[in-house]
Amino acid sequence: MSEVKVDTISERTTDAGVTVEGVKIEDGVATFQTAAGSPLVFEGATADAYETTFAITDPTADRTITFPDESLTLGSSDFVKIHTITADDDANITFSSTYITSDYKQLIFLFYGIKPATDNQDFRVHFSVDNGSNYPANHDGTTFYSWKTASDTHMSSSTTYGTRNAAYSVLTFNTSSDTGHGFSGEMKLQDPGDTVNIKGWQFYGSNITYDAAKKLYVPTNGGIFDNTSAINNVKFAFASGNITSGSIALWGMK
Amino acid sequence: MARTKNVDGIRIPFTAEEEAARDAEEAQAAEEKAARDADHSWKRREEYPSIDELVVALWEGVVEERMAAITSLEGKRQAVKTKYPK
Repeated sequence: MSEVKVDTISERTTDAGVTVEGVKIEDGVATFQTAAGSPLVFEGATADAYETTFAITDPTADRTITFPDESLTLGSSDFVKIHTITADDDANITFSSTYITSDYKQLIFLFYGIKPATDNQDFRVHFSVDNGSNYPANHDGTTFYSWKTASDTHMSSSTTYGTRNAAYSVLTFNTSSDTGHGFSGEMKLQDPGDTVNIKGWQFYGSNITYDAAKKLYVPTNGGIFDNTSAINNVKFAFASGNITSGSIALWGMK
Repeated sequence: MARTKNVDGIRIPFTAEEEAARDAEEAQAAEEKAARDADHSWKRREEYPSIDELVVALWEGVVEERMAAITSLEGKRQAVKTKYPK
């Protein structure tokens, strides 16, 4: 092995930088390019078979990851964003067994701007234990909601629809398809991978109704899925018509 | 136009069986919706004066012997009943 000792290596051509095996250094900026996309590998204190690698997905535009001006330690979080699906005039949005797994004790679905193609629609959730081959009629749920019109000062409240031995539960109802009326909310599903107990779920949200009064509904729903097999597929759909737009982000709590 | 399902972010055209199943589901939903819309009770419930208003009116009427609020609320309740008859 040859050894070269120098104090400074400078670029020979102005603004060309210095390149060493795919690493270009110019004006204090090091640029890495590797086919594998993992240019930083740390051996650590022990030279063995184990390393820590920074894996970089091939960027399709300029990206910046900023570290704040503070000390911090990165660690594994118990609260993980799993996947996001955006509707594009689809009959349903489905999270398959790829994402509905027993890795999480609670799943949280965050809804944003979900809008029906046709006015006056209920938004429903369906659970499957065979990755979507069937959505069994094991739902038992109820809804409590507050509501007001634009002219009302106070909210009123009422109990309303319930499901019993249904293949779905209702999350929002009488949903408006007007511009800007997409609903938002969140649904929690407890321990979908449990193979001993039935499953519980809760939904909180807000939506505008289809009718002339344009009521604001704030539904607070809950129910059970009376099935002791693991849920591995969750489907969302309006009672009729497509989901024109909106996103559902799935988070998991370990 | 054929429907699509969005599974994990991938849009997949419905099969003929899925189209038929969705048609049946939408037809059943329409029936349930019509039955619900025809039910006068929940429509009345949404437009009746609130429980708070009823309690205050009753207090004023029974305890304070001022009947104006009760009379007003009864008028509102009857109007709702007329709007959504049995």
